[in-house]
Amino acid sequence: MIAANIRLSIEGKEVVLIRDVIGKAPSEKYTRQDEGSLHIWYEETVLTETREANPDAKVYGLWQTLIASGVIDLDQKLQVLYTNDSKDIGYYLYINSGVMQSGSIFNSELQSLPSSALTEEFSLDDAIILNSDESTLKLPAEQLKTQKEIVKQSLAKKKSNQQRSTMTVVLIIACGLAMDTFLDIQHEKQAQLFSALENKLTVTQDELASLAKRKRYNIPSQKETLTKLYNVTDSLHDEALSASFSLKSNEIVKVFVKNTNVNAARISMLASGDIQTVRVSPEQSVITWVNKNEN
Amino acid sequence: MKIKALLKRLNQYSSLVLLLIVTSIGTCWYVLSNEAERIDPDFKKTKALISMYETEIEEMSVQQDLPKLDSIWFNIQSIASQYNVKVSSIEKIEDAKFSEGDIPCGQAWFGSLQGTSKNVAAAALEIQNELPVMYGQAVIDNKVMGLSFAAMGIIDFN
Repeated sequence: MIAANIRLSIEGKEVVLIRDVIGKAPSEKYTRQDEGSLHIWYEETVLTETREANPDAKVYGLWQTLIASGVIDLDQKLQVLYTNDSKDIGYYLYINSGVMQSGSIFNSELQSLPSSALTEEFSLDDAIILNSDESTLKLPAEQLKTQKEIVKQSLAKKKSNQQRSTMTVVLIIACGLAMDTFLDIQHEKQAQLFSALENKLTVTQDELASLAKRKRYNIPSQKETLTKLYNVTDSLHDEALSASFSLKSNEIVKVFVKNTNVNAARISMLASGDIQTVRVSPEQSVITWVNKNEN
Repeated sequence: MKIKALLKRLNQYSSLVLLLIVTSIGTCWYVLSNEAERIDPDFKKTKALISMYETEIEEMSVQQDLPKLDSIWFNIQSIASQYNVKVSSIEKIEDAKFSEGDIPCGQAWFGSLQGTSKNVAAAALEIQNELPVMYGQAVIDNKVMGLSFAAMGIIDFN
């Protein structure tokens, strides 16, 4: 059998449950504490006195403990907890359309019921009786606290949150810096490897340049162009020729010949393979080819 | 109910969440912008260049050494004289109608062959057959031809 203001043993711990209220605060003297989604109210003076009287026991609220134990059913209109065997003294919890009110039962009468409940003509026979066996109860997560303790705890929580935020921010920045440093080191390693490769490139280039100064390499053979030039100048050695051309590969060569009555046949005979002869005017023909040098 | 509680909790921690988002974005931006500034060296291109040069070195190493330029010049004059072709030197590379990039090896002396067109062509053929010589520009005017050349060899300073 549980009751307020007596020493109990819940979950192996010595506790005292003081009287608390669910719903509206009866007066400004009451202090609020949350238990789950519900608010409970209690008198701070009662809490202090109970602590002083029971320095080795933890102090919780009666309804607070019942809520934490999961015995309260928010769908029931009236729930009662008897604190004596004759079941004429105890506490009740009335819930209707969002209105919650807890109060005392004295001489089997519900004290201080809200006016809306009075019109319904409730009787204790309609109530759900809550289990008052202390062995089935569970302790709430937090003991009841004075206003000062609540503020202190709130400040401590705020400070802890701030510290956690600062730590998280520092951690993110540190991770970023670590990542940046890691990438920098990786880049530095790559740069060192590349520097070695560039040195090798320079050495290779120098070696190539040195060899190019000494070795007979890549000199184009202009034999084909020179042979064509020889053939043209040999066939037309008595004719008036004019030309200005490059002997570099893929350049077009144009040799102009002044036409006479006798050289037409010789000019046309030169046309073979990639040599072309064209009579561009009555006075002039042009012999054309494209240089193909070999390396 | 759960959504309401979640929203309440989110609202409670909104400034913290915002701070963390801003810090994360700022940190990411710092890391990424630094990374973007780092230039990745082009290993592939450089290795390809080295490989190409090494192949050229290999090919070049087995080639004959170039003769000395004064001996080349002497031989050019010797061959040209057989064809009654005159050899004269050209001081500037551009007057010989060559550019630095045209010279594949050695050091170059520039000159020109002058004579009858047929003889110049014949001499040019024989000279290139015997010596490291490359021809540049030819000018034919009636029966006469001038042909510029670059003789490539080594200079002996001794």
